[in-house]
Amino acid sequence: MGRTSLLFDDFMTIPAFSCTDAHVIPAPAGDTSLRRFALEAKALGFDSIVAEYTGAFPEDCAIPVARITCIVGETQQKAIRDAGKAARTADLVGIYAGDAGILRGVVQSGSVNIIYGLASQPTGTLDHITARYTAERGVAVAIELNSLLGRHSHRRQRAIRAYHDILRLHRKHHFPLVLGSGTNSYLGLRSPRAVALLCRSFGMEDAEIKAAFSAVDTLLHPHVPVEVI
Amino acid sequence: MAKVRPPTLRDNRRYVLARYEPRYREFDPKKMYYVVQDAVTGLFGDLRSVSIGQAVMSCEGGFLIVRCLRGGEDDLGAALAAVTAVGDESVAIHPMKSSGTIKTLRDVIKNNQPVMGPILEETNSEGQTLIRREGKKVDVVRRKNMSQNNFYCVPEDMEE
Repeated sequence: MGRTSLLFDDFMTIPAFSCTDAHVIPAPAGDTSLRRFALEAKALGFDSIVAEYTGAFPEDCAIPVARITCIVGETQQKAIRDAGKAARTADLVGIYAGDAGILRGVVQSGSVNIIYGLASQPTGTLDHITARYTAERGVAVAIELNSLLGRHSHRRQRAIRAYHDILRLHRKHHFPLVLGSGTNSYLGLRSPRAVALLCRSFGMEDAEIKAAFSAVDTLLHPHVPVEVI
Repeated sequence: MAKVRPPTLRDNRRYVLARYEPRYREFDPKKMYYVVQDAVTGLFGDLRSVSIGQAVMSCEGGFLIVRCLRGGEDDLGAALAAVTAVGDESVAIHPMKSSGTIKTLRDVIKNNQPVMGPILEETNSEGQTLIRREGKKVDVVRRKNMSQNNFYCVPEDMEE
């Protein structure tokens, strides 16, 4: 009690690239085309999306789309090499969290922008040391709702526990958080309002939710100190 | 006839309007009721579910009206967003608005009716293909034997 209902809050007053779905996977990896994803996301209230897409980018999407290439950390050297190659063609580079040591090394190298898939990994994949490197390098950690929506019972509880750990580390080390649906179908998208309600249900604060919606903009346009030549 | 309770003893109810996708799917309201109940209980447990007091009032034309007790709108909205399927059919539910009366929500429904185009149906050696259009949205449903493949796109993707 004492908090206004989010159903009455207007999340749509926020300006551009500041309400972003941080992870969608369009066709051919999914059943929805990139243009359709952009159209549906716009209809739901997003002003941009981040798409894991390898094909030629159409120029007539309904909203701005940032391309992300996600790497899998088989070994640290390979992951860093793949991240370097990906950075030449994509706007952002992501990594699917796996081995904790490899993740720490890749994050420390500064080669990636977003870490995905922590809710599916064992506890401790993102530890306090990796969290510190994540904050120092400005790497964002993604909270993906497909881990919450597609699961039930103990698997969903495990995902929520992972979110709690991420939030605890975020509040201590202040690395950026981003919110993504992690879906390969437009039916997996949820409106910003619904995403906010779900995030609030597992303990995110309203200010954290708003910051997470707009964090992708900071990743695309990082603040650099002014250089006097 | 049931006796009307005095105002002090009446529950304070709210009605939540949600939109579901795909809009053209028809769902049995009873099935939807159990799906919503499972979603609320799964996310918040039995105790909170009683204090939310959810009940599906209507489910048609792409819109869902769910009753709840005052104070439970946000948690009900979260639970609706957590629904991913009704039976074997994938669905997405997007909470839109909450109101004290159903009349207000029915007015919102009237102002948000989708414009559905004609359904094109083709049958060839690959099976049956249904193409549904709503404005710029094209849903291609391919049925072959007992399996079904869906592809959601826009007209420009079809041209490519």
